[in-house]
Amino acid sequence: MRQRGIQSWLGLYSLLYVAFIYVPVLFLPLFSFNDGIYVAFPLKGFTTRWYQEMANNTALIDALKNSVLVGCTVAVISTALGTLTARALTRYRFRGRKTIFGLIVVPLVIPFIIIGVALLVLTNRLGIEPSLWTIGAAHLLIATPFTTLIMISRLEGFDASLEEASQDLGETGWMTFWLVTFPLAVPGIVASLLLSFTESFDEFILAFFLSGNEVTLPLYIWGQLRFPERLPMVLALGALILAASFVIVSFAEWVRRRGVNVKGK
Amino acid sequence: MSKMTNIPAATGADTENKSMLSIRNLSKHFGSVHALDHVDLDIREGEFFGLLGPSGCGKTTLLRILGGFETPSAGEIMIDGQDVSHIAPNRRPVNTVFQSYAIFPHLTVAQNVAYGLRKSGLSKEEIAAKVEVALQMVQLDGYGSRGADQLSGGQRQRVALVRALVKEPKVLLLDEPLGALDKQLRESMQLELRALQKRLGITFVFVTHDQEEALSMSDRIAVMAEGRVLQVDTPRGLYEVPASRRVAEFIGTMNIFEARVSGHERTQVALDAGPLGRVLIEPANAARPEIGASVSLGVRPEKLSITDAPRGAGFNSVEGRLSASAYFGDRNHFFVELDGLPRPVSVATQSDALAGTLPGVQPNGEAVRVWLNWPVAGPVLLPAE
Repeated sequence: MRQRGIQSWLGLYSLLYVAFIYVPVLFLPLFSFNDGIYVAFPLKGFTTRWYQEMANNTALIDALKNSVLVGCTVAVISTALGTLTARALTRYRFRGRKTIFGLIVVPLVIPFIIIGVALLVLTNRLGIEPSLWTIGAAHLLIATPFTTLIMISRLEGFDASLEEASQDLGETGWMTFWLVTFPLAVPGIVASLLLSFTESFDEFILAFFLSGNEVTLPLYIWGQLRFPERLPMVLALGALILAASFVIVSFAEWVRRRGVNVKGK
Repeated sequence: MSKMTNIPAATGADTENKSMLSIRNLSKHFGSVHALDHVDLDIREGEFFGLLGPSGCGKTTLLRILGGFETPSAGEIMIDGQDVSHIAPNRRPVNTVFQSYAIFPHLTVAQNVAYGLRKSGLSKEEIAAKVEVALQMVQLDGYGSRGADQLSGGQRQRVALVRALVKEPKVLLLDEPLGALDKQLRESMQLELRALQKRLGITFVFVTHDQEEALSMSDRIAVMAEGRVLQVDTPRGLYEVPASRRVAEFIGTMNIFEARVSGHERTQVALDAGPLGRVLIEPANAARPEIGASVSLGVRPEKLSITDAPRGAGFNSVEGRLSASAYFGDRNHFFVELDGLPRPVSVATQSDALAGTLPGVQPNGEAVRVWLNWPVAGPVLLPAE
């Protein structure tokens, strides 16, 4: 049975593929409960002391807070900018529309290291002190192209006459946005918020160039790697972030699936 | 026009002459494209008015300008005496039924219908009652809590219709209102829509590219092409007495013969029609072109008859060859070739009219010699193009 042979090979391939993606990541929770400093087999004993140590480490918690703060701010602002830009690009025909679309997408393909150097030079020349603000601004720059693309694909998917119908029935442009455009765009907005938050939360290069006294989580972790005894604590943190990501992504997927059919047909 | 007396006087004598919508000198350019070119129209109160034309003729642009979704480049629009040319869509006394129906997918049927009543100043209970009555009007009572995705095409069309009608517009605009429905549903909705409009007395303006739909629903129709209005008339008027070859050929089928006027005899016109020889007709239109003028003689396929001998007095007859026939169930189409004419003449008859009297087209394709007849009274004389 040749057919069956091919199928079992495909099954094995799929298994290896999934393992390749998830096994390295799963080492984090595994070793975060290991009662030993070194990440090596055999495992020693079960412990939760790395989690306690992590919770008591104020520098780590501060870095986490900074990252969440910057990430949320970037997510909200870049999603708002992306939504408005996408609306303009999908609903109106104006001169330079294609050029503007191109200019918005280009930052996606500029290496972060180039952007980082450029922003460092710029902030230096302008005399702006590096801080969480400069990191946030840099993250806004790289997140907005993503959010714009997500929102364009969402807004292009729904019938423009829905907005016209709202105005036809007596609503102003602004109320039409809140009563029709926004509710229909919600699944896109949720996706955009998540993606831009993640983009900022794990970004290292720009943060490295533009950080002041306050560091974000990736910078803090990078700094801790010099001290072997602190590694298990970082693993514990990683495991928690992994768990949080799982919950958030599941939630986003749930929102997306209950999203109404917006084709209007 | 005595021909129109059998059309019911549905709009009533009192509203007959009151203009509800007047369009004056309206033009719209998109860049160098003239979507509308100096359009003038008067639509009466309570009228069911059709805008008919091929795609790209400007009818949809005109409807969008009436709704306020496009601004005219020049000209003005008066609705019930008020100039609305520069009034936003949400402040116009008109409502639209969109081609896609544009039912809000995140709202229920009842919420869709109530959408336009948010600013009416009515209480929640009053709005709910009004929505219920409106849904009953289109046999959708009990559907209020359904979502848009739980409706059939015909039901969506009705929701779009009542959602616009609860606003009590002075003019209702409909963009290809039946275009998304299948043929059988379309025919029953045509009757229903017209009955509803007559009952409410609201002026309806609708756009269609389907001539049958336009003819069966409209009180009057404007035939449009290339941004201009070619002719405005009743369906019967457009069909029987088209003003130009373009209108004649767009609405139904028209056999056109080139001819030259050779004389006048009281109400009759004598034509020298080339291959047809000398023809005497009493035109349905008032055309009395002078002797020597080039004209086009237009004869509808159903005015023609096929016999095995000339029909005699009151008819023009010419001998030809029956070259093809097509059976449509309710009617037959025959094609008769005449010497010296590039295209065969199209003849339509009811299916049983010729049964047993004509040999029909031979299976081997050999043409049968027949006589083609048409009455003296009834054809139209059109300006030659």
